[in-house]
Amino acid sequence: MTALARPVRGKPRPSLLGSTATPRWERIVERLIAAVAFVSVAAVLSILAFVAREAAPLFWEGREHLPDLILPRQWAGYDAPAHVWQPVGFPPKHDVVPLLIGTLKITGLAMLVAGPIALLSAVYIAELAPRRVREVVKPAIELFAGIPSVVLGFFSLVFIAHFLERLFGLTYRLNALVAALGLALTIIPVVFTVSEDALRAVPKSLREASAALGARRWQTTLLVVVPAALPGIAAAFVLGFGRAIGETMIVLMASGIAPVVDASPVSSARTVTATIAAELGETARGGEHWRVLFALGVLLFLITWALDRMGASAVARLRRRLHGPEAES
Amino acid sequence: MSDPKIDVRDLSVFYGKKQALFDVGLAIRERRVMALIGPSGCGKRTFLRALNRMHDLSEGARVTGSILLDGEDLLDERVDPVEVRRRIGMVFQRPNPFPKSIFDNVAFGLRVANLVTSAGLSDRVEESLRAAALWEEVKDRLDESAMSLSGGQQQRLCIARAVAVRPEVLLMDEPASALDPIATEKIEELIVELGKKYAIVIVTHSMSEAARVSDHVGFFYSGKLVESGGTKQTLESPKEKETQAYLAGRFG
Ligand SMILES: Nc1ncnc2c1ncn2[C@@H]1O[C@H](COP(=O)(O)OP(=O)(O)OP(=O)(O)O)[C@@H](O)[C@H]1O
Repeated sequence: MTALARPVRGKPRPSLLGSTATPRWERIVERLIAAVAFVSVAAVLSILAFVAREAAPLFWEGREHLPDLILPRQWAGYDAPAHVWQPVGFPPKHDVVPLLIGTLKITGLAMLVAGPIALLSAVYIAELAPRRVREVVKPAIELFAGIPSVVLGFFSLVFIAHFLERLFGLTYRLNALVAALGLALTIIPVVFTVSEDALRAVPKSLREASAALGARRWQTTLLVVVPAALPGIAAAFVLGFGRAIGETMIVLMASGIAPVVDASPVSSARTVTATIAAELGETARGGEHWRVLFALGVLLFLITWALDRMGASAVARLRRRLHGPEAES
Repeated sequence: MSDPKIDVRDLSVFYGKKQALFDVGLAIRERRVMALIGPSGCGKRTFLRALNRMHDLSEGARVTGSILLDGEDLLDERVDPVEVRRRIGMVFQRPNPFPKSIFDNVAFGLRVANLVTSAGLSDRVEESLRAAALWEEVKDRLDESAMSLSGGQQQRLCIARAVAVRPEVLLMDEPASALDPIATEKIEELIVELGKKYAIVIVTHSMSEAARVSDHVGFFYSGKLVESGGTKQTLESPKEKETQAYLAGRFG
């Protein structure tokens, strides 16, 4: 096709003099949009500021307790120095390490389960499935993202826990693995959708080039499409991870919520989010416990924000890779 | 005259219910360049893509008739289209290098077909880049991304990539239309050069390009092959009135 330089036919050009009205409208609309954007940025920042303000006095009130937040300590009644989260114990113990371990364990397990499933389904749906299958399966998986997490939590608590208990004969009915499987159900749609979009964004011209060079379909998928979409797939995983780390309800319901320090996937665990949700309502405002919970909130905020940025920059990298350096937008 | 490299007989192509190509017969000769010309939408690309069975990739396209490659019908359902594409290479209208290194782009076809040992690979890559007149420009940066090349270089890379598997026929779909005049000139020189080794079929909108690079032309008009013959003769004294009108610039 030589669509270039074909004269545009149709409407006659309007006079230049009559054209002053439009830009003013555009300016007003632009300002309005900018104002809305500004308000939402301001809202996010002020939330962060509020949360940080509640946490900050930790650093000057009762500073002598600061090391206990992350270092093991020889508590009365323990054989060795230990990380203990026991805010209502005597004395209260606020070591956040068990919570971080719980969070990492559950999100890590969830990613381990959800990542491969989501990626393989995305490859299948984007590359191999006939159109009819895609039209049914894709919206179905995306619908999953809309299920309230309390429902998934309930499902994990009752069915997944029961199933695993029967299967492995576990000591703790509610544990990290149960929560991770429940969590996986919420991550799969995120990782699936974003990866599938990335795979489909790989231009047809690359697939044709590959086919014309004598590649079989699976070779095109494996050697051309997936590598080309890799930054987008990375973004999908990062976003999925961010989603998992922030998820509260499922882990609150299904993890057994004991702040255990060990590496076993089937011991109970307690995440940062579940801790905040469970304890904040029952703690004295302005106390040390209160402040530690807010500090955890700030930590979560920063982690999800960083993950989100990483995801966004990976998507930008994908675009540059597929369309050359000038395709910045 | 010797047997043609490709002998197309009664070729029709349908997109769904719509027929885009009607009973085309055309012979493509070894070591000659055949240019396909005609107005937009007349079926040139449809014809070209039938030759390496690209229509197999799009749902709803149907091809009938026969295309004999050295006497064997490559439309036969027992024929593996992947095998056909290894023998008949293709260069597209827009340069479409993979977002991989220059080296990996050229090596791609060899690797997927497992054609050469990894020791022989870099020789073949060099040979192909030389054949595409690109070697001198990229020999020090084979590990760089192909996306860092200019449009004209990218298109020569795509040509190198196509000749690396040593095809017998090369199909080119307006290979210079997205390029500036200097890059176009290089591509055209290359086509003339490659035409000494392969049978080449090139779709072009430019009569002067057809005149510069081709030995034969086929003129298509609304899905039919109206006229074909030696380039000089056909462009200077066309027999059919559609061809005459087109060359006189009355439509297209
Ligand atoms: N994938 C497709 N599905 C349906 N119709 C198609 C498809 N590809 C081409 N056509 C139609 O088939 C006819 C021939 O198209 P073709 O691309 O072969 O023409 P062409 O001569 O190569 O045109 P151009 O020079 O503009 O590229 C056109 O009418 C076009 O609209």
